[in-house]
Amino acid sequence: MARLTVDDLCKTFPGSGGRPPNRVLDNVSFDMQGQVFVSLVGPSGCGKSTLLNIVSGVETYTSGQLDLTNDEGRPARLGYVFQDPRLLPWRTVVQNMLYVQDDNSSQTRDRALRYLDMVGLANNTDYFPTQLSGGMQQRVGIARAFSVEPDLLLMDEPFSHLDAITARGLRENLQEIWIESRKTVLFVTHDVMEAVQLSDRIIMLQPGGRIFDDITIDLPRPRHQSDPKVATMQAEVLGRLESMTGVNDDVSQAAPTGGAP
Amino acid sequence: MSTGVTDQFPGGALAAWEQGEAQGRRALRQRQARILMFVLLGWLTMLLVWQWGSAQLPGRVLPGPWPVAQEMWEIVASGRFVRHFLTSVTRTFMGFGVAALVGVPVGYAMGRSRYWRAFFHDGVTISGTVPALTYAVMSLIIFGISTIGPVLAVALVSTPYVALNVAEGVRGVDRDLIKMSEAFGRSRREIRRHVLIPTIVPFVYAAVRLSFAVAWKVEALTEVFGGRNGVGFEIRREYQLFNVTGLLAWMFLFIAFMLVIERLLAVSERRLLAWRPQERAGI
Ligand SMILES: Nc1ncnc2c1ncn2[C@@H]1O[C@H](COP(=O)(O)OP(=O)(O)OP(=O)(O)O)[C@@H](O)[C@H]1O
Ligand SMILES: [Mg+2]
Repeated sequence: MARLTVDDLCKTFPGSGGRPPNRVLDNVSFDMQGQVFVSLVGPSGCGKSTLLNIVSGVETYTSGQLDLTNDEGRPARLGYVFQDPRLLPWRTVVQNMLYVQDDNSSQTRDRALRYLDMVGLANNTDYFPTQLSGGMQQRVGIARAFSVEPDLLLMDEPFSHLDAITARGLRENLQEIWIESRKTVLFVTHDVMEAVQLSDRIIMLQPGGRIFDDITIDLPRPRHQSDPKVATMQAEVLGRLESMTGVNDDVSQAAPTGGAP
Repeated sequence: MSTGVTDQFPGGALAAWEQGEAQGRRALRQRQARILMFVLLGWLTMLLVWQWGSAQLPGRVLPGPWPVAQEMWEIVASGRFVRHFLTSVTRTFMGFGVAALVGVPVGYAMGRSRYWRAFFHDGVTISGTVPALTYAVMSLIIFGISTIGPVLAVALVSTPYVALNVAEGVRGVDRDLIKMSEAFGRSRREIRRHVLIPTIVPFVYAAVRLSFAVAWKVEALTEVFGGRNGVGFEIRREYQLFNVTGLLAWMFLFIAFMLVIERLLAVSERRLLAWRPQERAGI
């Protein structure tokens, strides 16, 4: 498990080719730790992926502070699920799993196979990615991220490229695995329904990269779409999201943001 | 997720579909058999024309297929075939080795940086355009009759192919796979081994296949002019003895050998690239 503290984080992409610099994240502050599933929700282009990339260290930030440690206070180990599967096409499923492991022991191998089993791919370990459907490939991506036993698991719209039915199956699957493993997860999505079903907490970003709202979802798991309590919560969160789109036009005068507790 | 074809077709439609499929396969087999027959007819015609031509020409100018076949058998049985081809093949591969040693780093630099690309581009293009014969003659002038000459000629011919293909491969590396590797904390060495090299390998193979045909001819040609052994040398010897039968026998062995090597390259390539859907379909 990990502790992530983000303080007044700003990110501005330098303008290129005559375009003005683009401020993507604007004084973002929040912190999270322990066995929580946190979702980052917001309209397209509000900087969700950028924030995730900054957390993972692939992208730099302009100002502010970011602190990410595991329980022992050391740099946290990361798992990442991308929007697309990002598997090595020339390696089989199991080889793809082993590629991201630090050692080659039989325990590591067993763990990799166990996670493949959890996503329902126990019988496809020797397939090449091109022999799998898109949904199956995405499952490998999810199993891969869990199998490195990450302190922090980052997921960037992992189901947005899938059809609704497949996405729904994978969401249930993810929920089961999470209940079992209770990793610290930072999950990006623009699907409020998905966010409510999966998360303990939803952070809303608005265009321009400010935090607009920070909502705690206190519902027992496993949660199902059909559950009226889940549906009520979804309606409420959706309402708040719509109120944000309402103030969309004068973002600059918007009230002070929700911020972290 | 496990819905097979069977679930999607009601019984009758499936049976009809299977029947159509079987018919299609039979038609395909018949067509292939007919094509094979025409291939054999083509060979027969070639041999007949050859036989006829040899009967028209005086004396030993053009021996017929049968004496040539006998001579080929003689060459193989006496062990000269293995000895001389081994020599030529070794030199060709030494040349390839040099080409790889130079071409891979140059191609890598060209693929990674636009400045190195600018630096090497014209040189590589020019050396790729020079006729292979020129290299053969040049390395003879410089090294005379020696082993280095043919090796160098092969190296000079193959290097531009290798460099350009590796450059292409490096530029084609999937940035997203590298980002993925970095996010999972993979070292540069691991990224090179599992992402970069597998991307480049198919391009190197293409380079080897393309340049092999040329390199092998350059090798033989250089031996014709200035070798002390090897296939080219044998061809020249037969020429000097005015033994057309021997000449033709070596030539056909040469062709057969090249076809076999090309086949081997293709098969090993297919093995190595089994992950590509089109390769699997081909097996
Ligand atoms: N490398 C980059 N250089 C310049 N601008 C960038 C770069 N990456 C992202 N941006 C800009 O940052 C903004 C936010 O992008 P980001 O990918 O974080 O959005 P997002 O919230 O993930 O959107 P989506 O939901 O569509 O994935 C966009 O306006 C984009 O143009
Ligand atoms: Mg995004």
